[in-house]
Amino acid sequence: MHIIKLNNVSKSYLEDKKKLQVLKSINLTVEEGEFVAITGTSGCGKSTLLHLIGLLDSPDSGEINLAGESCNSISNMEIFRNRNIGFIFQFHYLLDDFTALENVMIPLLVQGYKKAEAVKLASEVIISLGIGQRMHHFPNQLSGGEEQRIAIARAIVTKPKILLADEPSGNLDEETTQNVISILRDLNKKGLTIIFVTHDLNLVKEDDSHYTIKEGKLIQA
Amino acid sequence: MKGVLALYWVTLKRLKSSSWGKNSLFMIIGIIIAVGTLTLSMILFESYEKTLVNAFKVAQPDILINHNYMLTEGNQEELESILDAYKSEIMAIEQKQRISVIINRGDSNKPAYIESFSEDNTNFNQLMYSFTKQKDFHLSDNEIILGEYLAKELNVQVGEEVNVIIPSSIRYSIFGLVKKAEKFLVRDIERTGLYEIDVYRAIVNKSRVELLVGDNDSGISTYLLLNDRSQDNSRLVAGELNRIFMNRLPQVQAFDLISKNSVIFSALSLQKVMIFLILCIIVIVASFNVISTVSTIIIEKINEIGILMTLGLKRKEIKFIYFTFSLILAHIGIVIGLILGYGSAYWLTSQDYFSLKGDIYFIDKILINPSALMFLTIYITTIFVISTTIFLSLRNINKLEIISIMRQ
Ligand SMILES: Nc1ncnc2c1ncn2[C@@H]1O[C@H](COP(=O)(O)OP(=O)(O)OP(=O)(O)O)[C@@H](O)[C@H]1O
Ligand SMILES: [Mg+2]
Repeated sequence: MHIIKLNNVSKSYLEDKKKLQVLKSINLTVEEGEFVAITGTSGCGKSTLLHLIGLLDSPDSGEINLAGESCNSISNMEIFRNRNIGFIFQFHYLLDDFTALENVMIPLLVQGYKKAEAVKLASEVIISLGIGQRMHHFPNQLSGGEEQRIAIARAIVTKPKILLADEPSGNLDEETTQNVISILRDLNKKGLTIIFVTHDLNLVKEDDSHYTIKEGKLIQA
Repeated sequence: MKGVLALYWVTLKRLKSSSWGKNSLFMIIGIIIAVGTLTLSMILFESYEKTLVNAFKVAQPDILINHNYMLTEGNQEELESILDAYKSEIMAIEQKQRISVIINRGDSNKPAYIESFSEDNTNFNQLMYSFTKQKDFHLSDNEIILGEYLAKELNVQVGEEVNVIIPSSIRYSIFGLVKKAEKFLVRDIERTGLYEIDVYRAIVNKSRVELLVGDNDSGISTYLLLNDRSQDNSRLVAGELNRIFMNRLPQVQAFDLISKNSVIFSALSLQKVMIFLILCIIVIVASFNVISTVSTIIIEKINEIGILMTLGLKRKEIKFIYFTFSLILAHIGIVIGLILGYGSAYWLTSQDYFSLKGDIYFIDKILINPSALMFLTIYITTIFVISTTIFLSLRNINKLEIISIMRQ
């Protein structure tokens, strides 16, 4: 089954009254369990594509299907997003006022989990990512790699079907990058569909479905 | 709402965190000043009103039945039988005579009036006069009790003598003016708190008053003290009495305390409303502060808002979080403002320099005694104004788009 299907998706922005066509008739099919790598020069539209797939933004034209549902027919976008999609961003975007554990608990609480349950599930995920000893620390007490791993934990704690990662290693040193990427690879092996945006070609493997965006078109690399 | 638990948790967390910022502090201080000023002024004014009403009550009967002259025996019986029907309402009753006099001591002459005092009417006296506190109080015929300010103006102390001159006794003769002056010993000095009474009233035993006036029976009226001393009740009873008097004793009229001083009281309540409205403007000004604080909070926390959105919170729910958060901050300001306003009202009135001019304000000292209703009114008004402001400021969140937040 296709977990993600994009049909002639186009997206443009208005900048200074000039239309900037970022994506032109994009077609993309992703199977469950695929690891998709998207590369391309800065400003080519990688993040834009990811935001469209993640339903954070809507296309000018074309259709997006996620987990068999057309995104036009989804009535409660927020809940759908919370259930099916996990996000990781380049800048870790943890909430500063909350401990690592609490950050990971929030999506669960939004789903209506009881606090005790949320604590249990969140700490399990944090421990599985090897940072159990840091879970009661606040973001500013964590290293960049630790923060990113907490962000991954928060993205996967609700067991989404799709994980969207927008340059998750962009801000990390080489060793930490390897660590974070290997976590993503592990998750993918366990069946999670991942779309991974990067400009570092070294992080892309042979087996990945590798695309690149050029002049608004998505090309198989 | 599914994530209600999460929302409360997030909100409470935000309160504990150290990231309140200077802005929140300014907002709270602004609210404290506005609410404090409003509370202080309203407490002072309300307490003034209450103290004044109370002073009126202490110093005057609930109902005054005016007949000016001694009633004929028949009419007196008629009045008694009318009042008899109100026996259960009336706590104490006395017919008193008042005469205008001039009181003299040394070089000072002061206009005053003498009010007759019946020693046997202990029930009445204990309610009306503080100098009767001691048991079996006895006022001799040559003794006089002066109001506080009257005594002050005459510069006389307890135990000293004054002369009382009755203007109607002044006669012209070939030797010039002949004044009949009677000597009295000042037995006590009475303070009711009501300036008008404390500056004019002198109290003398009834038998002596009768001797003083001879066959002059002007200035006689009947004083009633009711069991239920509320203003509403006095007005009610006075109204009923007047309806009866109209048919049976046309020359007699009953006045209750409030109607007698109705101009003062209606002016006071109008003023109270005006002061409240004017001071509400301060609260509105303080809420401009709220607008800027909430807007700054939104800008400062824009990342957080973006993350919460990607995590599945609706704008509505995010607004709820920040609304609750801001309202709790505002609440702190309101409560502190109320307490500070109350405290400073107490402190101010306990200072010596804060005393009113009795001849302008009727009373010279305010007893702080605010009502729960007033606190509630201030609280509800300020909460309403401030939460409306917060709500309006938070509408900016509607315009936020996740992607533009995340791109920053
Ligand atoms: N909300 C927006 N309004 C106007 N222009 C936008 C908006 N979002 C993106 N763009 C423009 O669209 C183009 C693609 O942006 P996008 O962020 O998708 O690029 P990217 O491939 O992710 O780049 P990078 O590698 O630097 O992250 C850029 O030229 C950008 O300026
Ligand atoms: Mg990007």
